[in-house]
Amino acid sequence: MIVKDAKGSGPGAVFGPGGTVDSNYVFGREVFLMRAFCYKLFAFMTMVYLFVPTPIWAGGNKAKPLVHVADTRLLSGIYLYFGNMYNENLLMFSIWTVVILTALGAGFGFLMDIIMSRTGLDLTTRELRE
Amino acid sequence: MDVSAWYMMYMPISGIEIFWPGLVLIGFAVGVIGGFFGMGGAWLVTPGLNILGFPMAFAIGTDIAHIAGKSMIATIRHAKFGNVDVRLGLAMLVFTMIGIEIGARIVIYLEAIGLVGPVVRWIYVGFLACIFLMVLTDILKKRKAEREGIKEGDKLKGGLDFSSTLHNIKIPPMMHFPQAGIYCSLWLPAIVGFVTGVLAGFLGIGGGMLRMPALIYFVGCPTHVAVGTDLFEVMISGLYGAFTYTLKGRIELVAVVVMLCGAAVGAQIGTVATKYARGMGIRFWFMVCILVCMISIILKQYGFPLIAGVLILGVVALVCAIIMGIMFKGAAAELRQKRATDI
Repeated sequence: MIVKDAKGSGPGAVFGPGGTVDSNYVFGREVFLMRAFCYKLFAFMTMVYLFVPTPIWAGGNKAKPLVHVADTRLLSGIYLYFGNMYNENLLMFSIWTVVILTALGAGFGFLMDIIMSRTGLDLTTRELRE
Repeated sequence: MDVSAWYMMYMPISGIEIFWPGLVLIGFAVGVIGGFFGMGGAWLVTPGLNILGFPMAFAIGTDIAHIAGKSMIATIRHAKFGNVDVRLGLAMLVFTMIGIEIGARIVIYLEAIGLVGPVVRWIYVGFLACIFLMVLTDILKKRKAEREGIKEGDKLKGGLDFSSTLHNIKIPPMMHFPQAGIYCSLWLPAIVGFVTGVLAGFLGIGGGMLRMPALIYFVGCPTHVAVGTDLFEVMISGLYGAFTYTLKGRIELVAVVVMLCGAAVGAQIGTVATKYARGMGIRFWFMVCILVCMISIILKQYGFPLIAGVLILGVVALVCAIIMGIMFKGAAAELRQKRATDI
């Protein structure tokens, strides 16, 4: 499908194979502009969400910054590395936390997928039964 | 770093020793229940961590971080089943976040005028009671319709249905959500996301408990798609929550990793069980969880936190066992059928 701003068909007219106008896909100008508006609105709100500094999670129990120092004298290896990071650079520790969570979530998800696929169960289709 | 016994694990940030099999078990239980109902399950993790002696300063952050990871595992499985409508999730997500922000600001305002605390708890109880009654009415109506044999094609009629009316409000842009099989105004999921977000922010919860029934009754999602799409939202908002809580130093990463090991298995069981469960079955057990959550809040309000914790964990164990039963029974039947077909 090729999207063209064709004269007479209005912007956003979508042409089927061979250049014939597919009436199922012809959008009105208003709908086309509304979609563009929606994409912009979505992008704007994503920016607002990302850059609003207020901690917005769990409004009922607002978490105040905790003054706590990990006792790194007892730690070694990777524990020591993360313990030091927690004490010295909380922002970096937060970024690492999100990266580790994402990696672990995805890693476990795909690992379990491989294991589950060996059970012989059909894990790609299901019947919607209300 | 020496620990007193093999079953104890040293938590490097908080500097305490924790019974790690307990953490695995909590992760497993939340995985099963979250994967089946499509909610984060923070309400059942916190009492569990409490009982294990986890410091409260770290409990909520650890809980949210674990929920984000667990939701990712469950979302991957639900997506394979076609239960995640990404378009619907994204349409709701931004508005949910704005709603959470507004809800949080309402709480700050109430705090300033000294009205927060019991007020929030009682409103929470009120909403849980509403959801409980809504799901109960739906189930009873559907049962009645089943008994009377009212059918519309293959789909049984008779349950609660606000979505058909709401779908008739055709304010552009109209959008098609393919996985959910819905064609409606974008503003419908956006408003539902916003309202549930305001409530979640106000009540101090993740919101899965409110969003899952809202997706079914107001947006018109099939139960399974509501579960998957809700988990997709919990995953993204959970990651953000984990980030902000870590910035405040309120997370024990080692505990999260240990809990995720249990959740990885639990989430598979919970998610695969949805394949063998009817939508009404999922709603029924969801209703039971809502009831227990409501009772536990009332008990806490009247100063019985221990009874509340025991009640929650007891019901969690029971519901987990039932979900596992559904999964293993269904899987065994499927494998038997497969073998019979092969022969």
